[in-house]
Amino acid sequence: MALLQISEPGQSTPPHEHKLAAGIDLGTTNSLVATVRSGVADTLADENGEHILPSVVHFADKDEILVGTPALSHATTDPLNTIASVKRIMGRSVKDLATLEGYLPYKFIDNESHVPRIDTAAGAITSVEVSSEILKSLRERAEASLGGELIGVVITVPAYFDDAQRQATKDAATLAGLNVFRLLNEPTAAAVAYGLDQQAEGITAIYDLGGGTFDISILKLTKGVFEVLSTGGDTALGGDDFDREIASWILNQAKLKATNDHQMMRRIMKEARRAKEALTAAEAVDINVVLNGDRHFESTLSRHQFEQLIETHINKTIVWCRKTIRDAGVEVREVQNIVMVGGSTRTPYVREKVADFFGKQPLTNIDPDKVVAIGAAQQANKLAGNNPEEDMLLLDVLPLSLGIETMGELVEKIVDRNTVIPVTRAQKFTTFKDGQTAMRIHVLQGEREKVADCRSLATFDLTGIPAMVAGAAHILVTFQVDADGLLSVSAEEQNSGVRASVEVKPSYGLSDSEIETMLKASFQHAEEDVHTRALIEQQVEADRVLEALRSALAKDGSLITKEEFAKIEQAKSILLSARQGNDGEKIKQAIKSLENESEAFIARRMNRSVQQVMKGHKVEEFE
Amino acid sequence: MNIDLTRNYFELFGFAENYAIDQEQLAEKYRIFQAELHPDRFANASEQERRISVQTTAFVNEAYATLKSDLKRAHYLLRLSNIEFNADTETSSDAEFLMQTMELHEQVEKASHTEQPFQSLQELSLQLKQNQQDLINQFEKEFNAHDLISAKDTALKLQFYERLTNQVRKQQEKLEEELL
Repeated sequence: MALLQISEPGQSTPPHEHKLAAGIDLGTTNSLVATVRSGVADTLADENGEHILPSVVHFADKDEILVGTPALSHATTDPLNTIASVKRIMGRSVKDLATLEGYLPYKFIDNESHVPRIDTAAGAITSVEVSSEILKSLRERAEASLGGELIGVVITVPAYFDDAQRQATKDAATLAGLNVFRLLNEPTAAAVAYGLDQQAEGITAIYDLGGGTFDISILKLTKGVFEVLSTGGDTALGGDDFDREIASWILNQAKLKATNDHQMMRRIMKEARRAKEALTAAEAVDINVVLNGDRHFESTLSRHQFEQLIETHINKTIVWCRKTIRDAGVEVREVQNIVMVGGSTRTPYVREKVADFFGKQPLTNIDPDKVVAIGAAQQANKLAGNNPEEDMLLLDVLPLSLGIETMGELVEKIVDRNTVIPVTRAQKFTTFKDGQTAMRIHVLQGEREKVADCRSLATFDLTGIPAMVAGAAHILVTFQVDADGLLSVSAEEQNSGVRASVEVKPSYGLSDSEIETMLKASFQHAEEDVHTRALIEQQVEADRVLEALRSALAKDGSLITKEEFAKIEQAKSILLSARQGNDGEKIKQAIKSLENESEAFIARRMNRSVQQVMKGHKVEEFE
Repeated sequence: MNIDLTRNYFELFGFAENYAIDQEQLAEKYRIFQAELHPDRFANASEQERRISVQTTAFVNEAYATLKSDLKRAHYLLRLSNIEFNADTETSSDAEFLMQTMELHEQVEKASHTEQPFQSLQELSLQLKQNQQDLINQFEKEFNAHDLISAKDTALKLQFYERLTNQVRKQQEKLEEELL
């Protein structure tokens, strides 16, 4: 519900002030930041007029971290300290790295922690820190061009990102000092950019072919609610394959084999890429490249030849489209819109094959490199409250099933994939030995039946179960997934009331204290006082709490008892005076006690909203 | 949890406890709930309000998913009528039905080895859908007639078809993966 805005002199913000918010596309190869200005969403350029920030970070030294194009120039001369494609290792464990497709040209440090650390000249660096540098750079760009601090951002993630990968992305944002309104699925953002959320209803396919990855997502829109019905794709398929096909064609024509001559191979790849891009508009392109020694290769590649070269790759994407559409439980002809995302969708043959398969033309008029960031910016603008008349909602689903380990190293699913989030699910388990007093709960994510084939997210113990015969204990395990797709789990033995719970931090994710240490280090680095930062954060949260309470009381004061009101007032005045001081910890405590006092009232308000919808009234009618 | 989430799902969405429900009305009401309660509506609110919003929305989502699914709604109605059962371990006691299930299992196995496996599986899947629809109609009749014992048996049969449909789907996926 929209919070009622009441302005008290000198206390609350004027209702019409535009709040600064941004959308961030944190991509594997490139990243972008966009914002809505004067009602129009567009990406923001750096001081050189460049919109695209290559997702590359160069760590030469603790005091010299380069991001983007300047970092890219070190890629060949200093490859071990130049980190690219870090998104591929976000939320991955040391063990996962070995199974990742594609070669990672970095030195990883063997350490106790499960979090992979890359050995650089600036020290041991995690993927979260690398991403955080990219986010910081985008944040600085946005704040410089908007002239103020961002109050919140929407960051996009692939729809299939699991809990660990989402958590790592959020950690990177925390480290970059960003307030995340929401992690938004990339395909949803693309659909928003095309204004498909404004349509009454329909099925949309998002076809995203980047340099190295392919994703297809099927979304369903019904009266302002977006659901991701299914996703599919291939993490090793993209426009780079087109380049490689042309390169091998050149080698073939020149009667050469792929060699260790990296210089020559690089020249050929460069020429291949140029040819591919030229063939977007031209029917044929002249190829001219220096081979080994003084040998030149000259030829012409027609668009038709090129299309034959890339046919199998495109066909693979079409097979994925068919499979993903069936996963969604819809028919191909029911798909009303096809949105093209990613630079490789500029290739006319890709568009043609996609149009053939779906039986209609795909949408291509927004720059396919920018479309995700633009949609994210529009959503950030709405969540910041800059667009109150629009009440569109984006609903997401859980990308992969969640479950726990049971006997025989099998996984018992508790929440199925594609369940709309937020979601809470509970399942009962029991003990299998007489007198068993503890139970280890192993949380997993994935579709397969065996523990070894799923992703291990966390392990925790429920201890202190009274000794009973096997099967007598009733252990209720509850999963809760929030709107960002992040999980928390609790377990309770129902006869004795013994409880245990965890915020699921993936076993190989960063702990809160590790993040805090990194945060401190980064502030020392920036010569900023970490206490000042913490104090400001608590002050902001205090203002938020007080403002929320003020408007809640103004609107629903009738839902509160005299005693509650008195207690809340008392807690409020304690918070107000703490807010004037400079002790962050004290403010935190005061917020906590105010929240304790008002918990019942806030819950009652939410309950009343539920009741009003039950009665068939919109809450607006009561305002 | 302080919020009252013990409410009956049917009551929550304004339906009587009948098996037949108006899916459009269900979806419409769900959207209104989401519009009022979803955490995105509380992006600028306090942590506390966001947490309570997550809990409430999760409850509404669960209720919606239960009512929307023909199978889950059947199970839920039986539970409300104090008919407890474990759909994962119990099966129907109808001997003729059990014979049929064995045949169907065989058909699924065979379908992927025919000349045109995609088409065979597609046909089988359509037939399963039809059988499910028949059972849904049957459940409705039995439940309305308060014949809960028969209704439970029908719900278990539905559960079987659900599993078999998933199996057909897995076969289809396997075939497609071979094409990739």
